Amino acid sequence: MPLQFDTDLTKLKEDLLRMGALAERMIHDVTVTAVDGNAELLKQVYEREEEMDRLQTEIDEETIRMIGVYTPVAGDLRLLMMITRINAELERIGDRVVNVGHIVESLMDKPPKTLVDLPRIAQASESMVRGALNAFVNGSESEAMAVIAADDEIDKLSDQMFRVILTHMLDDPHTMGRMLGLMLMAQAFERLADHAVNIAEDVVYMVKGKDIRHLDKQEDGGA
Amino acid sequence: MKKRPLIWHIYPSYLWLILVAMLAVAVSASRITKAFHYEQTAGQLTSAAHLVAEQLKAGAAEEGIDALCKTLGRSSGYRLTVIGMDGIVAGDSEESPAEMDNHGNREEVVAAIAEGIGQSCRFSDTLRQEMMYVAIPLVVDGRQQAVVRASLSLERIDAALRSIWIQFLIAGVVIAVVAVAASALIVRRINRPMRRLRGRAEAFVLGETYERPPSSGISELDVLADALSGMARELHVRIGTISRQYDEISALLACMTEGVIAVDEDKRVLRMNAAALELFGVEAGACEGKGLMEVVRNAELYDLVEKTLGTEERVEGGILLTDLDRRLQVHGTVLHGKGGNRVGAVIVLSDVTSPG
Repeated sequence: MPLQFDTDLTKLKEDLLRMGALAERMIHDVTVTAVDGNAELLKQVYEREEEMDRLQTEIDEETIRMIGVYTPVAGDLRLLMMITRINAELERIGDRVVNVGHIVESLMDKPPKTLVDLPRIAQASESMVRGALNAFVNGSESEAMAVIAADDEIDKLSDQMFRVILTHMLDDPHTMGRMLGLMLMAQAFERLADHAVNIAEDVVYMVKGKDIRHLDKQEDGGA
Repeated sequence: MKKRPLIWHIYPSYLWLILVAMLAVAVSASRITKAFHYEQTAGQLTSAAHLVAEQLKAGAAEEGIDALCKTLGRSSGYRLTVIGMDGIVAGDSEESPAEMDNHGNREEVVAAIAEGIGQSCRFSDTLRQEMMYVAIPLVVDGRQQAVVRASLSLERIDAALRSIWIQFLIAGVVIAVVAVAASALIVRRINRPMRRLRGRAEAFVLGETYERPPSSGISELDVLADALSGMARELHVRIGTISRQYDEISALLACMTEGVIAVDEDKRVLRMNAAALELFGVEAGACEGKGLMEVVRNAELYDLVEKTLGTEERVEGGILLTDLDRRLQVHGTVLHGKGGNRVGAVIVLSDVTSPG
């Protein structure tokens, strides 16, 4: 593979990691806004999401160009394919954070009295996205598997939070709107964690060439 | 370029030189020998022809010419022929004259009649071999009566020349073998001090002090050893200076409470001090050469570095480390190389997180 391929690949990875950095920052800022009600941060979240959209297009175009020009095979081709998939996951993370931002914005006039475990779920999902990107940078299967394992914790937290919110709603039906907002936010963060899991699975495929998606379902079906 | 052992640089050239010289000597010797033998043979044949002519003048009867040729031919070892002025062979030491062609148009016969002596080397149709012919006219009372011709096979001369060539061929093979041994000896003589030089150089690379090897007796190699010795001294001084400066800079950076990151123009990390490594949770030695985004995944820091690399001005800004919840004040300055060219940027990071 020519030297120019390595140079182009380094730039491509740099752009992807920049998207990852923006995603991490957006999750952090939207969480802070949900806790503190800082509307200024939300503006930055929306701006960053626009940058992520632009980066997604650039990365996809560059990947297609590189496949066309260098016709990579084996590991290099796998890496480029995974970059496009991780790129798409990160863009969806950006979209979901914006959705959370809109919910936070709608709740600013009448903020809920309690956020329950929302900050915990938000931090855990942010941590999972960070972990998945670290696994990508280090090409580490074990780090990727740790991210996949952490998803169960988020699912438990999400279920627990759902039950608590339901209790609040039953206790005081007037808070239903705000509690519904909280539930949607928790659901969005839980989905963010799922995107992190997808990235981690892509990393495993990139490193080992082994597709571990839907492995549980296959095992269940075979049992 | 294909690498070959020293002997393969020396031996073929030696061999070629020797073989070309031998070929030149062989060709020259062959030509001289051939000319000498031809000259000798021509002289002998002329003398033999004159002897026959004198015998004929002394009164040999016409019917006795053939017998005289055969008698003298047997005793002299030459082929002797007497040819009439009309070209008809009157006598021949080897064949019956009646069975022989008309010799009036033979080159040497024509020349003898015209110039007084004729000589030629050609293939004899009668004897089926290469022959040298010398012919002289038989002059009686001032008139040419016949032509006397003496001839000899050139086989003997050719055999002598073949022998010379065979001797030269044998000598060539012997010299080629001797040249291998001589080349091997020369190569060994050159290789031994070169191996010593290489050994000293390799030891120097591994950190030992360079010691000049003893004189090899080959002036060129001694000059090379001196040059290596000088280079080693100079390198030793320079490495010492660089190590000292590196230690000073490392100590200075290690003492700083601010994090320092140096990056090249492609935003690859050149160096991070202890404070920066601790700040970003990076292991020492694991960041050099990696892209900044791989080491510190922070879009704001990346933008500030990019901004620093694009200007000669000092760049300032703030970043947030979301995972650590820390705010950092960042100062960026472009790095210049020795020639004044831009080689990267230095980023200084101060933790300005409000306590509590």
